[in-house]
Amino acid sequence: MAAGTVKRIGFGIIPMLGLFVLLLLSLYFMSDATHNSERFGRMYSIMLGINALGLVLLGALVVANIVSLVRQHRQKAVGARMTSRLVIMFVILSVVPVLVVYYFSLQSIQRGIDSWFDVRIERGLDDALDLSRAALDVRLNEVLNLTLRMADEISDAAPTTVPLTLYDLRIRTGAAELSLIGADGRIIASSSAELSQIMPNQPPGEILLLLQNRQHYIGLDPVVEGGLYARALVPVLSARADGEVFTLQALYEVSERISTLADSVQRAYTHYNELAYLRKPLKFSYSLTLSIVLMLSLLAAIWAAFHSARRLVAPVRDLAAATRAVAEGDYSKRLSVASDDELGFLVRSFNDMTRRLTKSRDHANRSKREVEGQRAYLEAVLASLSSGVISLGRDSVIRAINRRASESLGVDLKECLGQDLSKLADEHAFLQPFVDVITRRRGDEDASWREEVILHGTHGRLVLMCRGTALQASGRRGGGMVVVFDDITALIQAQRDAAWGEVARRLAHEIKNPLTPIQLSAERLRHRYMNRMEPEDAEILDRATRTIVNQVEAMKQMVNAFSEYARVPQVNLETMDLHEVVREVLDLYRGDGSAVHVSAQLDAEESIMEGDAGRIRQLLHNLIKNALEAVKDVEDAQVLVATRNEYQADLNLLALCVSDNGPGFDAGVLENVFEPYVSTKPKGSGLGLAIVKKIVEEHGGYISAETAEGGGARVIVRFMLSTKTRSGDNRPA
Amino acid sequence: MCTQKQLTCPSLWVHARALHMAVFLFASLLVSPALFAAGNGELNIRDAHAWHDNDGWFLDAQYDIRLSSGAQEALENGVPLVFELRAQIVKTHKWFWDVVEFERTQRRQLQYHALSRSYLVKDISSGSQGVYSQLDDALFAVGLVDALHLTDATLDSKRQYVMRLRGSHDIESLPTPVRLLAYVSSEWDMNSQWYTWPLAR
Repeated sequence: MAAGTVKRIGFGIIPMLGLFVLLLLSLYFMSDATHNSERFGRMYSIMLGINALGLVLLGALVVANIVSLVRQHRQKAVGARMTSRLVIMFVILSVVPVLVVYYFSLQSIQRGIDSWFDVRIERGLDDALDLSRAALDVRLNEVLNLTLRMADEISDAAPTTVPLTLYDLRIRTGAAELSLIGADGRIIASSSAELSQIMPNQPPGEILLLLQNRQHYIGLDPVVEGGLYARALVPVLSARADGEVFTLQALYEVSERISTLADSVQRAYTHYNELAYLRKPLKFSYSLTLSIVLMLSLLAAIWAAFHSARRLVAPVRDLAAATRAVAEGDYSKRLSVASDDELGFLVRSFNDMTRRLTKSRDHANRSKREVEGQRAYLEAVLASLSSGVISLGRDSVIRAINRRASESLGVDLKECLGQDLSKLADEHAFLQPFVDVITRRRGDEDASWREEVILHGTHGRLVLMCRGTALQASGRRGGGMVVVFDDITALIQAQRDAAWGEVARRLAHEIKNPLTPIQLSAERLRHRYMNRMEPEDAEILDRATRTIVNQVEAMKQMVNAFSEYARVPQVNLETMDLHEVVREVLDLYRGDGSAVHVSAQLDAEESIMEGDAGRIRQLLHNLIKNALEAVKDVEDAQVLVATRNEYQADLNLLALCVSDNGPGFDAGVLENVFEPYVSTKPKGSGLGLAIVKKIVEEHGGYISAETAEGGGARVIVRFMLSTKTRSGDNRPA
Repeated sequence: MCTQKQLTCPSLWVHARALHMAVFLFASLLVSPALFAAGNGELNIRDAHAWHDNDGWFLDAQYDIRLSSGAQEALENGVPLVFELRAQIVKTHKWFWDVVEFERTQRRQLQYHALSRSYLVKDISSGSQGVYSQLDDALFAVGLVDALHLTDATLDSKRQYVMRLRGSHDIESLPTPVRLLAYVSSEWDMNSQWYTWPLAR
């Protein structure tokens, strides 16, 4: 705040000019006062004080400027160096001549004042004074003799006539005043020419002391305003008996001419002496005035140097600051054109440049906003698509992926943005066929292609219908490909399930209905003709009809199984413990005396799931029955039911594995082992695993089958528990 | 704004002191230190007595003046010296500033008359003068105050009053070139302390 005030008050040119003029005026008055002028003599001290204060103020301003400049230097402020150079240059240019003038002026003052005084004049004045004294001494002697004579006359006079005698003597001698003074200093009688003067002139005490020794006194009584009186005091011997000694004091006016001349000599002598005495102080005063002028000039010059330098540097500094701002991206800087010179031209050019830069930047921003708008629009369109979209650049780098693509593939593909397509397969191995197809198709000549890709991911089998379109090369970024794909797994499955359901329904409807008449007809044949036939024929009939009835019964069971498969599921999901259900089911197979060793290994920590316990039991029965049938011819037959928790990506799974040490699946049927009517068993209906798969899908899980490395079949069912993620990642075996 | 009647006037006092100080500081930068070394003058109030009669209050006093060698040299070279005696009747207050009720200043000029080799003492106020052949007699005459009329007024008998005197040499009456030196040199510093006593009514 103080700095701001100094800047406001002190750095303006008008206040400074005002101060300068004031100080110059004050200096003029001071100089005038030094000449002993009556006008300003009384104001000398005030003028000196004003000048001193002015100098202190100027000095403070200069110091403030210097401090400010030093601070700017330390802060490496723009223009500080240039200001310093200009200030130093200005100061040198102004200080040197001023100092030279000061030195010679000082010399002139010293010599000039000394030249006023001359020994001859001094001696002449002394002589004139002595001459005056000598002239006056003659007069004084005359006066003394006259007074002595008057004293004699008074001593003879009777005391009562003394006043008259005094009057008479004063008239006769032309004295201005005659007084008779007693021994105790009392005035006994007096006669004065001045009628207005009531009290006679009293002699000084020192003179009265002198007269006690009966000596004479004669002397001059100067008057301050000018004029001289001769004062004579002589003892008067009284004729009285007591012998009292009186003193006669006579005052004579010195003649006007002599008085005037003597006064003139006295004044000249005093004036010269005073001047001679004042020589040193006068020199000092002149030197002081000159020094103040010097200091004033120096400080004013330094301040002017600062002011000018600042004015000169200001546009350059503004330009530098504005250039820095432009370099930092601020194109809004506009400088005011203060002058019409080269600097003004530079400033105008700078303003033009920033104006154009601003225009270009605004245009670029507008284009960028448009591009971003288009991009956002495209992203919105892509996001709303029900198909997955992956856009690839010419260099196989993934440029864009929509949300549906990630959802279809079951992995977060956003992380792969900007990476090479091959990274997709590196991070998610099950996507390798998908990546292979795209890579292969990029090499083809066809602009667009269509291909079905089957993936085996964590969610099971995934069938994708992929359509690719090569992008037209446009500029640097062109020449890529857009791949659009749809997850048709559910569609295909639904079609297949619908087909099988239709088959089952038709079987139930078309085959089951004639079976009962066939069975009844066979039984009627047997009942009517068996007793009438020969035993040999009867045996044949019995065997044939029994075969018909048995086969019809078998066909009925098969048709019922198909009905069961085709039935619309009525799943009632509840919270249940899988381990409990497994234990219940296994208990049924352990106590039947079978040679097969059925065991359980229930390792899952979390076995509580949402499921239909009845359907899960059916699932377990089907799987265990399959396993038992597979190992019935195997020595040391083993069936193992195991559970464990698995964590895949962000999925928390409960896996149920039923394995045996039988022959395992044939490689030919493994692909379609869960399809209806696919069985390796001679008596199997082929619907056991199909129903198991259906139950698993009803529970939102998925199933897989494999032949273990050491032989034996293994069917793994995975139920979803939650989407909670664990750090330990147990991948399925 | 300070009135004449106030005993202490801070703003004026500060201004006067600041002016003196500024002059002193500035001059001390330029003036040779030798100027400060000289025999000092003195001015002391020896005795004072205030009395009253039907015409009012009067003062009898005597102050002794001892001129420094510099002042004596100036005097003998024709520079007149002016001495000033300030007499004040001050009404005292217990809780507030004291107030100057009456003030009287007596100024006397001492001058050397080369022709008659005598010293002239002139009372500037009354115009009366005396001629003395000895400097000591002249200085005695300057310092002798005989029945100086202070005021016609009578003082409030219920209030407390003090009389105070201060003698000083008037530097501003010196020739201009000497004035600056006189301000900064102790040789010219001939000022007495305030001489104060309670006024008996």
